[in-house]
Amino acid sequence: MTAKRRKSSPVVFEGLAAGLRMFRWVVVILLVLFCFSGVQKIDPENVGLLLRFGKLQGESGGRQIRPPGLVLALPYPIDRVLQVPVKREGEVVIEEVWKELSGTPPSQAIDPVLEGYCLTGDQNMVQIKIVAKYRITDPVAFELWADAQDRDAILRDVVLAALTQTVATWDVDDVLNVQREIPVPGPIESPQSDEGVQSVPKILESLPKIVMAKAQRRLDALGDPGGFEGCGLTISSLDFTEKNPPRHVLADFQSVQSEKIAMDAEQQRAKGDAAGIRAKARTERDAVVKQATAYENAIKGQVAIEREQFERQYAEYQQNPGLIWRKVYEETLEFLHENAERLYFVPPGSRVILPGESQP
Amino acid sequence: MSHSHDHDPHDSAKPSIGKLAFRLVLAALIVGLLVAYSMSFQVPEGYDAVVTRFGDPVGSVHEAGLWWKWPWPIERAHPIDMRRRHFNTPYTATFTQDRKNVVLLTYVTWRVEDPLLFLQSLGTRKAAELKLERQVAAKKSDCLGRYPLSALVSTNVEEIKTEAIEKEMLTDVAKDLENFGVRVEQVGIKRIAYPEENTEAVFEQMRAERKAEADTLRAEGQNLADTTRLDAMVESAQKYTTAVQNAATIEAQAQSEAAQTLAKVRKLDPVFYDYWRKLLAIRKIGQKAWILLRTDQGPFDVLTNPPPPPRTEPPPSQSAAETTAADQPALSATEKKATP
Repeated sequence: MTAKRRKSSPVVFEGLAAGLRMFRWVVVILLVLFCFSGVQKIDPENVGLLLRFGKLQGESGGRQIRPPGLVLALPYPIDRVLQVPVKREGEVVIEEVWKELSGTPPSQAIDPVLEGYCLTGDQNMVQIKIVAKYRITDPVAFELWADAQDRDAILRDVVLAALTQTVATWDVDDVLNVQREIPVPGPIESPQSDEGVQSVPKILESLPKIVMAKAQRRLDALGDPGGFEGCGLTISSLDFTEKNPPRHVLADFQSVQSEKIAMDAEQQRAKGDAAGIRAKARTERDAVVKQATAYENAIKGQVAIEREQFERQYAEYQQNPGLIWRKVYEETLEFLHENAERLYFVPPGSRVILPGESQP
Repeated sequence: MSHSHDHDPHDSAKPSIGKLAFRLVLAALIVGLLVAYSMSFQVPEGYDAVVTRFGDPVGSVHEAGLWWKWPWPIERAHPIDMRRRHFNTPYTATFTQDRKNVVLLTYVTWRVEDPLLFLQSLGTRKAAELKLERQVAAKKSDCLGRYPLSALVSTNVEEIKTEAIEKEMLTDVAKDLENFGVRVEQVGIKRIAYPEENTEAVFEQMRAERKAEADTLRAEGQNLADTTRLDAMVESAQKYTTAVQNAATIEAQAQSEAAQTLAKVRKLDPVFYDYWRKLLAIRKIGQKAWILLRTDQGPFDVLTNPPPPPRTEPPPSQSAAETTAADQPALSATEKKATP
């Protein structure tokens, strides 16, 4: 029994030793992999920030930012590489004050907790959905200003606050059009229109632009005066993807819209009619003027002919007055003889009865 | 003896001095790493840390990097996130100065300013948010009670005081939270709404406004269309009148020019011209006409009683007019056709 144990022990030890040798190699390989585990690839749309023991590496500004490519970092927990998508446009969808239009409203009222809306300056309600797009302008500030969840929430709420407070000063129609006309601020001389009425010069205000500027101001006000400036992001655009009155009063707004369309159509018809009236009048005007011009030409021509005839006749007359005097007289008599239907000479005081006329 | 020949397998398994040294160094390294790990802590960027010894705060770290402390349970590092944090206050209905009920939702952006004070007075984010919620709710009611609803919602921008309300709330809340190591950076009104029971009345008002707008649009549209048509008619009539006037002017001018031309021509010899012109007129009107005339009146007096031809050549016009009746040509051709 003991001999058998003595025989089997070396085999076990040899097996263990081989296992250990293999384990050693595995450990070595794992160690090598660990040593290179910090090496990271920065994607083309990103830049990298290297933190060593939590501290940002690089003196300041551009030296802290690693361009796309390989970053030779030490393994965790010594180094950590943060990738910041500076070339990609970030997006936050804000639908706290918006509700799908489909479906009938559950009641004639809105519970503000369940369904959001904005109050307009003229005490109406509108529902708006916004997509806020932003770009990272300072990757260091962007990463270290707030954690990702808080950052998105802050961005969402500064835009929402800017929207709510701007809409609260606008008319509902202007909000739904996302623009309005306002008088130019300041004392500006207003030109007079053709009708003699003083027309006030106006400028067009865009709701998204105003909301964007206000939201950006709020974000910038949250910068850290002691460290990096601003929040490291700039709102690049606000898309008002949906804007409508609550579905409780949607039909009423649509009826106004229908009236506007009908009014436009009637206007177009009226303009068409007016164009027809003007065209007809223009034709008549042209005809009158053309007739006058034709008359002018005719009379001028007639006078010219008459003048020419007389001058010719007069030239002959100057040569031979008696002959020409008689000649024109006789020619006229011949003409009348040939062309007049009837020729009557009535001595003064005669009574004439024309044939075909009934006797008085 | 036999023992001396027996080879102990453990002798061959004994490590050499080099291997032993290697193992010792490795073990020391591992132990060192473990000790270093338990005696160090990292403060990441955006964080501060408070070090406590048996629970008693003994220091604060305000810079990111690797820091040392005694191992647990002697000392403990408490990392504090110093970055901005966001908090939404719950819905609260508030009365305005003019007794209007309004629901406001606000957000608060805050951060830890004094990590030690924060740790001692609040400790966690949740506790800080609870504190903020109470403070903001109280200040919101206080503040709005001093302003009418038109300070929040109005088309007259001079009435709007939202920024002032926000600033007042921020000042009050920030002052209260200073004692807890918290700096409140922004308080924003992000929703303004009516309580549910008021919204029905708002909808009724909206409907009435829309109906009035639709009626106005309809009336204005018709009026505008009619005006457009009438304007066109009036404009056309005015232009037609102008055109008729222009035409009359053209014709009058033509007639005037013709008269001037003929007058110039007549000046050559008025008597002969008048004579010639009358004959021409007779020709024009006599074509296919029944001519009935008194024998003693013009222009046909020239036929019944023609002026005599001039005696001298070239004739002075005046003398031609005095030509005797003896020179008058016979009316034989006319007499053939004329009936007395």
